[in-house]
Amino acid sequence: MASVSNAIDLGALDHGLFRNWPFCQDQCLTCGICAGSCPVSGVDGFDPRKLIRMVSLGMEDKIVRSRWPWICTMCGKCEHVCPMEIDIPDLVRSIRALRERDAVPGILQKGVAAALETGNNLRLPREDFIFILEDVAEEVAAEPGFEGFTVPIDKKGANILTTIHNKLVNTHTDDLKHWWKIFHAAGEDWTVSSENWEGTNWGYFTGDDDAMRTMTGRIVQQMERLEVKHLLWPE
Amino acid sequence: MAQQTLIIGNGPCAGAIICDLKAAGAGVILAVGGEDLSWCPHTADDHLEILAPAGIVGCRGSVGNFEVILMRSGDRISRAVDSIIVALEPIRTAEFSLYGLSESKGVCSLSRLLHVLEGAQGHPHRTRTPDLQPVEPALSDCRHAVFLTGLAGESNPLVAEETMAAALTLQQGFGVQTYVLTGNLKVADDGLESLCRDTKTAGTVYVKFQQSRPDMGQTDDGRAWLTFDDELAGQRFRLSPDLLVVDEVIRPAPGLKDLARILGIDSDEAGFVQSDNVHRSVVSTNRRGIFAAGASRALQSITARGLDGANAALAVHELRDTGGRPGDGAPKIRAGHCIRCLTCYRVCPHRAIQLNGRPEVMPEACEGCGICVAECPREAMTLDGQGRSALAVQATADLAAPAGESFVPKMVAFCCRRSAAAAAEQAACFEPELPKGLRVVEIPCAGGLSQDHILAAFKHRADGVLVLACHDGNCHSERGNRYARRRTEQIADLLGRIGFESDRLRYHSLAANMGHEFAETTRQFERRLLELGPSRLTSC
Repeated sequence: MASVSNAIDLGALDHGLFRNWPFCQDQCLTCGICAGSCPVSGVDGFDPRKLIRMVSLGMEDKIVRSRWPWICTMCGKCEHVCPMEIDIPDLVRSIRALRERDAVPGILQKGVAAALETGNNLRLPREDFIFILEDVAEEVAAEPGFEGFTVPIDKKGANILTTIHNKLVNTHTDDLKHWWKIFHAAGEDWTVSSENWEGTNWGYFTGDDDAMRTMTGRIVQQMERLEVKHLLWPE
Repeated sequence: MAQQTLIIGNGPCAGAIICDLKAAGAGVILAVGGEDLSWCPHTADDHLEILAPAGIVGCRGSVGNFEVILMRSGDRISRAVDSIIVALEPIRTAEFSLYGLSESKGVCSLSRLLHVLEGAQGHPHRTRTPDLQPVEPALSDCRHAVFLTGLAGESNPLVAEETMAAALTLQQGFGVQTYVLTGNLKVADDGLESLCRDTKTAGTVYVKFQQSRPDMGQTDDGRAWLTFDDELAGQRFRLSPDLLVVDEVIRPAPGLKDLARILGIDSDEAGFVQSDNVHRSVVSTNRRGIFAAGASRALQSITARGLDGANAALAVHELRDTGGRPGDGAPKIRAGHCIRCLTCYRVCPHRAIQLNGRPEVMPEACEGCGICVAECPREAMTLDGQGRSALAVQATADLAAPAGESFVPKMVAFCCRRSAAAAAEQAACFEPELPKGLRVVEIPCAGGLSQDHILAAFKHRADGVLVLACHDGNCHSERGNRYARRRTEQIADLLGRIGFESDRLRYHSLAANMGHEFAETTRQFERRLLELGPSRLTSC
């Protein structure tokens, strides 16, 4: 028999392991149009077609350990061009979900953990959050045309509740102003919650459905608490 | 008319035809090359004569009245039949040696697996019993099965279909994990892409090889092992399947070539006795009353194979219902002119001329193409309505002299009835501007156009002549378009050599639905004739 030392026993793999996934990966024609359209194809050897093939064969260990699923930007071009309509981005997300949570790459898991524990990715305390918003509001009010502007935090019965991306209260506070100026000019009745205001939901990137559900549920809770009918979720 | 059909067969396809014909109360003579009759659904009786083993050595006559000569146990016997059906099963050869394998408990041919599966499912056998000593693969203990297809040679849709169907049955009905290792999977046939999807849904794993090939061998107990690179995953794998199924090359039955020669029927490139011609549908051949069914006429899918027996039986019924067609339009041979050169006998695509001391036309077999008339070097043959000068006069009679100052080229387009004439009709309805001086002359087949037709048109004041025939592979008379092309090019060459513009004669092929192309061709030709000016022959 030929040397088979580095060969995997194909018969020992469970090719049906992921068959309950609704992404049609077994229908792959291996045409490679996905790889041709992928903007990160070739980064660390990433090849969406190859990934699909490994999933189809049931190579669980390799795909879960691989860096590839974390290279994907989930832009969805591959799915758009796939002749067999294989849902590649969702498949990539499902692979990410298979990883132990403490092995999820760097900042992503840190952010999810912080959000679950404190309500936002930055672990920013409520008082600091309010201080930053009011500080920025003062700057807006100093501009001509926005005299008397204040930020309506926790306003009950407003028309719109808006979430905040954490970087807007961290490094990009100027971007808060754009939104607020539009609300002001439009005469909109809006509010922002002082807790669970986080607009990002990194469980989407890490394949963590439970975390996503928790974060989303908290926003709905704020809507109920403040009796707001409409949600603006600019993320 | 002898209401009897001769079936030359050796398997399920012939069996299906016998059943259908007998059910309709028709008489059948079955000629079998070997002695195995286990496939035959009936035994001999008043309506079924079985000649086995018997070989065909001669065939005279034509539709409705064939006399077939057979050799049986050294005796020469003769039978009169109105129709003949060729229904020989193909030869299937498993590629064991090409893969370096031999048949064993763990390695079998596709045919053998299909046979076992049919038996296991209680279906009647549609495949022939494989000839090799049976080493029955045990499906009950089988957990992994590998199919090889298109790795040692070219694959084809039939093998692909059978492979996928067997994989699906194993996967769904027997709980076997199946793998298809393929160089190319030919799925260009009815329902094959869908079948491929079904197998993938059921769990069959496909491994495609483009740059590499799998290594394989057998252990002492006959079980196969394989190692290979999955070119997509970039991973080396090994497999030790309980069953390895080897694909097969399918070739026409070995006696088919000789039989085609004896019966005077055309073969395609692969050797199946139905030429690659759109008019040969479904089971028809170039000869009336002789039909080719099943794998005698082409490689066929499983479904098509099942239908072909019925198609052949229907063809025989149709023949009897119409009583054969009366031989209108068959040529006559003028006594005293024929020098028995046998040109007509050689060129007739339908075998409508037989030799009885001298050539004789069998009108019931004639399709009226006129090829024999055009080819006869002695003008000994005549076909009503195809007289050479008569046609030319008809073509040019109403071509008026140029009106006024401007030159209107006079053009004659000889058009095959089955293609260009229909295109001309379409053009007359839908194309606004056809050349004013164009005259369409319909002919039964472009192959029936002789050099005299063409030259007579020039002699009767035509400035240009177009020969418009069917596309390649579309000629009802098989070669009529090729004859027409060759003749046109020869005459154009000849005209060129004597200082006449060879551009005044042109050959072009058209399909019946190409009205626009007809108009374009004639307009383009008119432009060329305008450049050339009036023919210098018109003043002769």
